[in-house]
Amino acid sequence: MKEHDLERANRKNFRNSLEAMARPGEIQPITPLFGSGLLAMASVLLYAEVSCFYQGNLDFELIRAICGARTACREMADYLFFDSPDPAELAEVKTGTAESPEQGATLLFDCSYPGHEETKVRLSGPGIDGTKKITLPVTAIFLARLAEKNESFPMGIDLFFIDRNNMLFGLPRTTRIEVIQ
Amino acid sequence: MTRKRIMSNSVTFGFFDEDAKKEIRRAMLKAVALPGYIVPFASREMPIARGWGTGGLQVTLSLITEEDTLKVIDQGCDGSVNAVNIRDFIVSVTGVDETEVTPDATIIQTRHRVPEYPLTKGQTLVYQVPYPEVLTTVEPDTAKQKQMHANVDYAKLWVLLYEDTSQFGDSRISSRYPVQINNHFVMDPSPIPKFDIPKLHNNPALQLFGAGREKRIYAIPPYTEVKPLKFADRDFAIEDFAGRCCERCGAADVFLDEVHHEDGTHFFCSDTYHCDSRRQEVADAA
Amino acid sequence: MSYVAIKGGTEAIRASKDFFHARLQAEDGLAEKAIIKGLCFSCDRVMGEGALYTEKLAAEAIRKSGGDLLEAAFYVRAHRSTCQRIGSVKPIQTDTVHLLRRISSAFKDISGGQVLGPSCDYVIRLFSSLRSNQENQARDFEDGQHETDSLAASALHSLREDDRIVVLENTEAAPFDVTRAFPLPPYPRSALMQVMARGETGAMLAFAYTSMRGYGDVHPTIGDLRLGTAELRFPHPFTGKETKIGTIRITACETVGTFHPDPKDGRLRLAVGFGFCFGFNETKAIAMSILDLAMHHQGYSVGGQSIAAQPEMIIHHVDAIESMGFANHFKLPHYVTFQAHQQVFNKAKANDDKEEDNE
Repeated sequence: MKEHDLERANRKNFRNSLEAMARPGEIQPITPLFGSGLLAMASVLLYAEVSCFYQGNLDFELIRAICGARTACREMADYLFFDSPDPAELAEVKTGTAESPEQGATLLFDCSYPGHEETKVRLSGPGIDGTKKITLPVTAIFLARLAEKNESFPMGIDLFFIDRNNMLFGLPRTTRIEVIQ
Repeated sequence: MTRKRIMSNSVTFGFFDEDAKKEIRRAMLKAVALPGYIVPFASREMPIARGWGTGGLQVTLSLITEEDTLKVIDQGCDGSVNAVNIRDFIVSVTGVDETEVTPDATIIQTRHRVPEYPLTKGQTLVYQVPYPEVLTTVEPDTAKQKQMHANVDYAKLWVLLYEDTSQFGDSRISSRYPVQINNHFVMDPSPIPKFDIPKLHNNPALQLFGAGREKRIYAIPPYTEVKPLKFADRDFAIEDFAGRCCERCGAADVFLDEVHHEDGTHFFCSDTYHCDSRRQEVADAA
Repeated sequence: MSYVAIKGGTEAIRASKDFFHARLQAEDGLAEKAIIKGLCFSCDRVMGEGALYTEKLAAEAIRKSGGDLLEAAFYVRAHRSTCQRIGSVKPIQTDTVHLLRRISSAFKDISGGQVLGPSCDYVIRLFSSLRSNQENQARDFEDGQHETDSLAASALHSLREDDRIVVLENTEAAPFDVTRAFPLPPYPRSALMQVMARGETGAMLAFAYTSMRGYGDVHPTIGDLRLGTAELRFPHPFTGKETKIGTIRITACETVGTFHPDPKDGRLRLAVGFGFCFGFNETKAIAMSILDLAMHHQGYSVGGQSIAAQPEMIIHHVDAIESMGFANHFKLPHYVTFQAHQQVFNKAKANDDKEEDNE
């Protein structure tokens, strides 16, 4: 079995994910783990004191066990991972409270499936110099659901997307997303 | 100048274990998504004492990679006793390159100053913080503080500002001036002088704040609005040095240290790299 | 050893550290065994406040810090940060502790007897002894007397059996761990207990003392104070079978307070507080039990709201490493903030003087 320096991979990937979240719209490369960007991010984010949710097709259990994270239902999980950006997945996840907004969930969507829809958007808010036009690998409906979820700042959820090239997008709850044609 | 040293073999990269780093990293990601909000974290003890920079240290050690170049300053000075100690420690557990040249650094850990040299996109500024809670002076109870932030209720701070202004003409707060981030959370910017407050606003760099003893991490994302709390009919008064210049390099638009020698009072740049580089410029031009 | 405020820190630090260590050099050096045995209470205090059970490293820390126990606890705590967490042992039941010493002030005699064990309680603290040489000769106690087979249930056992003691409702699924998560109000009792178990003896003593002296209404009686050795049982990671992995010396104290209506059913019962720490440190365990009483049986306060009864006060202010670090951090350069402060003062004064002149 190929030796993986997990800690080294984690710190490089973490740094890029911090940049992605701090500068929404600027995508960052992720070094995959076992061929998957999603698993690489699970390795970065999960540890013994947090919980996770995943019901997809990847072999998630090994990473989860190494990290020591607990599993939880979607309403309670701190980190949720999905094989595709289905808008329905946003509905039940937790948004934290006004006093402890950091308890809001972090969601990571794998957007590498073939033929995925994209939406052109204009982003603004913290981390963005003025405005930024990019193409997000999700539908306009997804973005509408996300806006509803994040309408009561500071409560809300924070998102990552990984595309087929293992490039990471970050979307903190502070980002204003305007769909453009 | 940039120097390289070797990491000692017997230590985990970054001193503490992976789980500790992951918890801090979680706090950093949430801090960035909640500009100005103080995120709680467990906070490990470091070999350097609480109150001496363990928060900044934990943030730096959780984010640093082999590719970084590190600068550490205290009161604006790379050679200051505590900056040297912290820098030595970080390098000994990471093996990263170190520098005094501000534009060459990718991570700058600082106590009480923002560098004079404007920061850029590729840089992260990590502040050492003694009091992360801006409401400490007006409300010491943790539960009440959380409620006030939840309700964006900063009335007690405004009352303090009002009382000071009517008695003394301006706020008595000299450093740690309260700032409002992204028009929401009011935050303690750490004990930087008011002179440095304008630098926080719309900065291309990511600014992270670590309080080890009080166990909070917070952030100002790049390009974010930062406004000092002030009444509409008052200017935000920063320190002025009555037209004095640095005696070493001639700079007039920087924060100066007042130094008393036998031969009288002298003024020098607080930011020593900035001073050195100006002197170099002057020398090159000659 | 002055340092130039502008630059030149490295050489000054190096020289200062060398000077410090040079002053600590004793001719013979201090042997580890001499510290562990001869300064056993210092070691125990350092283990307890450093929150890591290691006599060896506690002794080493005491040597390195020249006997400054706050510094020594700091060494141990910092070392703890480098240790990986493997898992948790099974909770220790105090009535399974092999006793070296066990007393109860609440009763004249108890089942198992009042075992005084080794104690300085009755020592006359005089430097020169008035006793004859014969009396001075220490009796010969076998070295192996640290471990006894003596077991005894708590002296409060029968009161518990008779349902005369408040049993606080435990609403926590698992013990809170302040080293892994930051506690927020309302603070879980286990978080408060953990912070106190690793808290600084002097700080806890001071706060408990305020309660004893009337800033609070606790008039405690020690129900059971015990020193001894506890077994640590750890579930094997693969088989799940419990294995004994070692023993530690501990101090545990149950203190009986006043009575009040039990929140559970309104019936009158006695309040009992619990104190616990690594090694032998009776002062700390007693202080901790009084603080536990004051914080968790608040409804019956005659003396009014007191520091000892407020979790917000206790949780933030009893940690040695934090308070010592911050108190000493004032020695760091603060000339930028002082400059800023002087500017504000000068402007305020100018403003004030101007107003004075206008009058």
